[in-house]
Amino acid sequence: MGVGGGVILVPILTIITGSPHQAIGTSLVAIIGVHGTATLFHLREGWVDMRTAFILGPATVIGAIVGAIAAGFMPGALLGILFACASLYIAITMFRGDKREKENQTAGLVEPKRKSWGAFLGSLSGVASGMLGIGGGIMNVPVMHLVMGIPTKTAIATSSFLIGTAAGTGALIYLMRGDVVLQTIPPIVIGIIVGAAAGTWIARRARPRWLRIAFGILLLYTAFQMLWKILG
Amino acid sequence: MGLAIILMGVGMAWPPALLWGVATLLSLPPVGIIGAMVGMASSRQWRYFLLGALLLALMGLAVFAGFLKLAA
Repeated sequence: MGVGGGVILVPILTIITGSPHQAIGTSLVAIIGVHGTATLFHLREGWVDMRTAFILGPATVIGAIVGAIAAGFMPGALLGILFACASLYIAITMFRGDKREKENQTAGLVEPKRKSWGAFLGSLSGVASGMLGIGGGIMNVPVMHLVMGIPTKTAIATSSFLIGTAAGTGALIYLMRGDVVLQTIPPIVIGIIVGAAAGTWIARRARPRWLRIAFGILLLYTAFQMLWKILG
Repeated sequence: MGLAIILMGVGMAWPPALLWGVATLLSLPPVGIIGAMVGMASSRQWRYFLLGALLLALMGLAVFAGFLKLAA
């Protein structure tokens, strides 16, 4: 679906561990595995624009540091509510559909426009990544494509690299704070790699619209279960 | 990536390997950045090389912030 695993992983891990902080920290480590694999593929295809990545990278990483530190001060219930709001936004995006599906997806290296504005918005996706354990691709890709004028495929590939970097930064802070459940990472990373392959197979055969609706419902369900666990 | 998965797989039976596996996974983004910086230097794009160095330094800052156990 092009959405990182964090948005599904965090609610499931919260239900398992009972702690949103540990769920977010563990999710960030797992996200590096997902986006590391994706970035290697994109690099081989020549779709990653490292110049744009280096323009957005510092702002995104600063955002991730601020988000990860701020999350340490927040109670679990507040994090859960913020995460549920992000899940709701992503689910609505899924239900409404994505214009990128309809247009011809292109790749290529162009000179990025409006760099400062792009870096500012990139820092917000970093905050979301560090604070909530989600990848931030749902923000990064539109920013790169619509604000900076980067072709869609290049924006998706470059976003994958940036997500790995932001997740790595946030994960370091969570890990040293003791908010990563190490034992859960191997099965999650292996499961994600197998799941990504299965997802690609299903995506080739199923109708995109039904996939989006199913994913949106799954998102809302897991977010509701997480809130029930935290608040109930 | 393969090494990280193998180490984490071993770590399920022998816990010290798990930490090494996670450490290998965490080292992937900086290694990618260094690789890209080498590419920028070889094509003499010094402005982007410096931005890459800044990115690395900020990741180092995250390690420092983690050591301080901010918001513990």
